[in-house]
Amino acid sequence: MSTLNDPLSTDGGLGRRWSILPGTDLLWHPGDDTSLVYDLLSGDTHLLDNLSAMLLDTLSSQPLSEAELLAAVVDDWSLDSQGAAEAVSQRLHNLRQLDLIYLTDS
Amino acid sequence: MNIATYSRERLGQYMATDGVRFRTGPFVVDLRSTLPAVVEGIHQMYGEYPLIESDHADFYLHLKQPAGIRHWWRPQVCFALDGHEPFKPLPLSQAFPMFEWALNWCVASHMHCYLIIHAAVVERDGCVAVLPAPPGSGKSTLCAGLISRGWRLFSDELALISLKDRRVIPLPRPVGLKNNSIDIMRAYAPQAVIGPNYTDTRKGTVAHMKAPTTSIRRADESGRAAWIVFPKYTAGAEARLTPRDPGQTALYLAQNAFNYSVLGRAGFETLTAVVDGCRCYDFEYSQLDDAIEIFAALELPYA
Repeated sequence: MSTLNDPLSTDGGLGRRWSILPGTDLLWHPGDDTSLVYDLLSGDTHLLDNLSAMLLDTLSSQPLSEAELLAAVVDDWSLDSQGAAEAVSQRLHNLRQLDLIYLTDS
Repeated sequence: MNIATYSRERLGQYMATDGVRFRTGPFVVDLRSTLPAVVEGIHQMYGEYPLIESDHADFYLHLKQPAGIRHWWRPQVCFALDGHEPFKPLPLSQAFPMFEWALNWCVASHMHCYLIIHAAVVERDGCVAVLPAPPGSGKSTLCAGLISRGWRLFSDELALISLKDRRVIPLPRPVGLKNNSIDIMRAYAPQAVIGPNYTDTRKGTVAHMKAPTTSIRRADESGRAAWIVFPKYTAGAEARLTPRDPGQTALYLAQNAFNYSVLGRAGFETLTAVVDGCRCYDFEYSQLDDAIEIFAALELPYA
């Protein structure tokens, strides 16, 4: 974990990007309102709401900045930008707390 | 031949020397003990279990008194698996409950061809109800009530789910009744065989209700999980069944499985497949008759 940037930073802007942790391999089990995610790396199981699941799934493909994630959410979820910004920020914080994502400069 | 083929005295002789080897669910247990309470408990609770002549047993258990002063002063009982003693001794008066707890531990700690969840399990017409719940929720009381009214006992502690075909495997053994539920079941099921009360255990007063004969005889008939019901006894409450979120249900089961973390991908895939195939409920109750009625009307999740 020494190669990662400070995982406690809350700075999702300023050009930094969110990424899933290296080596993370996720099994998904989507439900109606929630998704179960099994992290093969840690052995942890998480229950995520749909927005968290969408953010994590998106970051599984490529690292993105918070602004880029927000744009995707506003387009896909028809949320107003203020509400979406708060929701995305909170979900990213939670996903980081679960050791599923981190901030990177790359 | 089953254990009851032997007289109490003959059983004691076998258990003191070679050990008695019997089948419970998919497992063969080899048990040795000279302790009269263990012999009596086996004779009373396991009389209908088949004796096995195979060279192999899944568990080689020995319950004995420790050497030294605790053999005489405040006497104790030790449990050994394959010669190792994983637990501290208990008071000698708890020898038979210790056998039951120890056998649960053996299964939960070693049998990783199953996903093993802490839950009571009953079956009717091939459809299985899994009853997970924390201690004190009335899980064993409800289980005992259901099996006294026609449901088949799979287990009152361990839900064994095959990783191979995701069917639920019976492990019918005595139902552990605790505290108030002992007198409740003595009154509710007077035909049931309920053994002596063991007082001052770590779970309070404990007594064992023998598994119904039919459940023991049909121990090789697996079932398909159809319902996951979280029981909660609340004094005076009207019986009420409330649908429960499948995701929350799966997460709870994962957290209360004995070996989910050992199984990795197989555990996750088995768990989610089972939950997908079930109706999930919270169930609050205070009267067993109401519970029996509601369980009789449970809707199948599939045609």
